Amino acid sequence: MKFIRPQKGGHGVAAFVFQMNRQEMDWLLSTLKMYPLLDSSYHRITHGGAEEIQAEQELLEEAMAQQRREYRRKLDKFLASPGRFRLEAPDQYRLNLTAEQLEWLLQVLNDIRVGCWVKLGRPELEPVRRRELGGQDARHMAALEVSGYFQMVLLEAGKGAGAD
Amino acid sequence: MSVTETPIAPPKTDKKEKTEPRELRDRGYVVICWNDPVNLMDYVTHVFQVVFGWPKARAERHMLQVHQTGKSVLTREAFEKAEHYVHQLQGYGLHATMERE
Repeated sequence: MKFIRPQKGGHGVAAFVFQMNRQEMDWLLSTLKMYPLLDSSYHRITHGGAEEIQAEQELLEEAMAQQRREYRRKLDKFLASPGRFRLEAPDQYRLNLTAEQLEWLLQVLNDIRVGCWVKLGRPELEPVRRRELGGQDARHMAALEVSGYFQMVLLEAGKGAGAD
Repeated sequence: MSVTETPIAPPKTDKKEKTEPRELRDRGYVVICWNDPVNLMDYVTHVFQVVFGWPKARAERHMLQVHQTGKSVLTREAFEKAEHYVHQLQGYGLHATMERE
């Protein structure tokens, strides 16, 4: 997938134009369908888990759950939109994103990336536990890399458009 | 004759009730971002820029501090504002917490 150019969309909304082949489109779609992967209990309001802010911990978990419901709704609408991926040439698809879509897609992809990492046992952070690989492990390993790849393309597009 | 003093019982307080709201809540909280091996460096920089409105150089400086030292104090705020920032950063999937200073 490559970033082609930023352009002004309707009502002055910045749009980002991407081009990708069929394989990349399939990867992106199958990865996005995994959302959400992170559980709300992943989020901690303090490092030590101080008891006196238990109410705030619950508030944080509720806020994260609500955000995931909202992004799932946006994602469903996004994916269901006809012509979202427009065939331009053989094995060449075009995807247009607004700045707002680019921003929440980044968050969605990051949720998938971090979620895969958690499901794989948080490698490089927690002691490696010897175990048989199996089940969903290969899928999570692949999705961790694929989501990171698409995140990098979106971030580069943001830079290219002078987002910073 | 000795006088026995009746001990004065401390006023009953509900532990859950926040009895020292102003004193504690205005004392100051720091918002800390902790290192993890999964969030991309460019992504963390981007999140700092979006959430705090920082220029890229400042966002990168904090990102590198997280990466190299394990954490970075991003801002010092009153309780509610610190909580707001933690919600935003966590919404982006970063490992951010608020700690009493």
